[in-house]
Amino acid sequence: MLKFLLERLLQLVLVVFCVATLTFILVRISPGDPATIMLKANEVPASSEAIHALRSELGLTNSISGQYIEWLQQIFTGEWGESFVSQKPVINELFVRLPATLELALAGLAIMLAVTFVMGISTAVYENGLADKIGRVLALLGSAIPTFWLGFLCIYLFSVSLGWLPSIGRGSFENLILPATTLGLGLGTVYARVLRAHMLELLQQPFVKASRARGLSKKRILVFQILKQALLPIVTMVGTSFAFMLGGSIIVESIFSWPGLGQYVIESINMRDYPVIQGYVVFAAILFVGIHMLVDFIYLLIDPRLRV
Amino acid sequence: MKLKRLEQLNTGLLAGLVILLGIFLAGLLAPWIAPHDPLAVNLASRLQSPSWTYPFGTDHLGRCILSRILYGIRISASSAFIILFLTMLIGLPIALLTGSVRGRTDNLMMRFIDSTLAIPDIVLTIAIVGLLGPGLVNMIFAIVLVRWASYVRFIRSLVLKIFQEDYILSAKMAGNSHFRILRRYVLPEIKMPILVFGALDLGKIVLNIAGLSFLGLGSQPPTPEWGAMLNDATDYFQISPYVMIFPGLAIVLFVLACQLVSEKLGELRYDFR
Repeated sequence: MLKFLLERLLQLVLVVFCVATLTFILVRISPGDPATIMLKANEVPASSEAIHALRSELGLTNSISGQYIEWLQQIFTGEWGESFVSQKPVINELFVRLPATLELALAGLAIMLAVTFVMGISTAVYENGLADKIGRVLALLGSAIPTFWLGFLCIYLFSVSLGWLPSIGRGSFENLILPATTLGLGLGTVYARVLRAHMLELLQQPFVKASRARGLSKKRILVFQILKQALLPIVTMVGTSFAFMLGGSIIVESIFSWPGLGQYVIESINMRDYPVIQGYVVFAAILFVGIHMLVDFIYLLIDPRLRV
Repeated sequence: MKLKRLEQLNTGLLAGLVILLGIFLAGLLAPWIAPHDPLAVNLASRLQSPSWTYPFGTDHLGRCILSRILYGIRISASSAFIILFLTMLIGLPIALLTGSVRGRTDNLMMRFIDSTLAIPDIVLTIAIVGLLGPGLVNMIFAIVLVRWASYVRFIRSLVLKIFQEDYILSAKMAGNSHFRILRRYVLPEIKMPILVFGALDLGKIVLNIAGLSFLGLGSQPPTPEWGAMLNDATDYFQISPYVMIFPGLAIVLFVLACQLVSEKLGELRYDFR
């Protein structure tokens, strides 16, 4: 167990190191001088003296290798610099917006799981029936429809035409419904197929024949005996799809004006707010590797066979 | 593929290929078949519903949506193919090498790749484009930089499996060079699975491109591109839904065709041995 944790911790450090290096290189090769951009962002006239003063203040006049080492130190000590726009520490800005994104991702995950279970079980029970055929079409569409288009369709149908739900902002429960559905629906239909296939595969086991012989209906066997076994792969799916939800939330947030990390990073890109973009990648890397560690850990707890 | 087996090309595969070919042809012939200039602004006829003059309606600047979608094929499809080609170009040699030689480099490489795959594609891509600055070329660069890793992982797993087969062992004992084994015995065997994977991925790449352009990070206005058209539609689709319906349908059609081709090719693959 200790070995597992240590290995994972090493992986985390490796990923953060790689991402930090990547962002460092990208910023250096990207066009535009950070000092000039920073002055422009604060609407200060960019005279050559002002630029020079700021450049030495930011450490841009040091050698490249010196800058790189300093940047790595900053990353690993949590000093991620300040936003050009708000002048506040990047890490604080990111943490302020994290809850909104987590809320959206969790809600998306809930919708996804609901769709997976309802669709997965019903299509397995009525194999090759009408529900199954509809499920197949939905799963095809689910992976082909871009999230942003689905978001537009949802807004047009439920906000504009029917006027049932609000289309922008965060706050009440109603605000959450459309973004979460947009986020979770597509993946839910795809995973429903996975669950269905898995359940039907488990149906080939000998004990099913025994249960059938004792007079249990196929429906009962599926729901009360097979489902429990089919849950294990779902646990891994939940972990990876939670990461997927967090990633997908960038687009969904910008459709629904959801005040989370994704919308913030897009705003920052438009403002050329480099420290925020850099901080965001490192933050995301830690978040995602962390989630993976957690999933593996839970898996280890659930399935004793893996502990050997 | 042998010609006499062509009857096995079932209707599904044929339909998918025909749709894809039709889309490419429409993009190629866009200057001749598009009813209007895709960039011609005509504020007098903005946000119109479909009509005989404008079959798919007009956008917020009065531009013909059908013409823009047709010209958009050129951007979306060609960048998708460039990305697919480049990722293959990077991924295939690395996968062949690390998968067949194994050892420490392979181990390190896979650890690195597994770590990067923990971060969703879209997050890394957006960050890279964000740091380099929005634009079509930077977007292509970013997508390639992020996607090649999954190719290595997939192709490597195929190579690993083949290298456990006995015929590789006998090829080695017969004195074939490593390179010859890869070219003569491994490549033909993994051709079909890669094609299946690539066809599916083409659809994913198109979704990726559209998503980034939708966020304003890909091709810049006024270039007609499907995702960028949907970005333009953000403020207007509540008044006139056609500005978002048709570009979205174009994306869905393309991706569905890719999925269909990939799925049917996958079913074929075992018959073509």
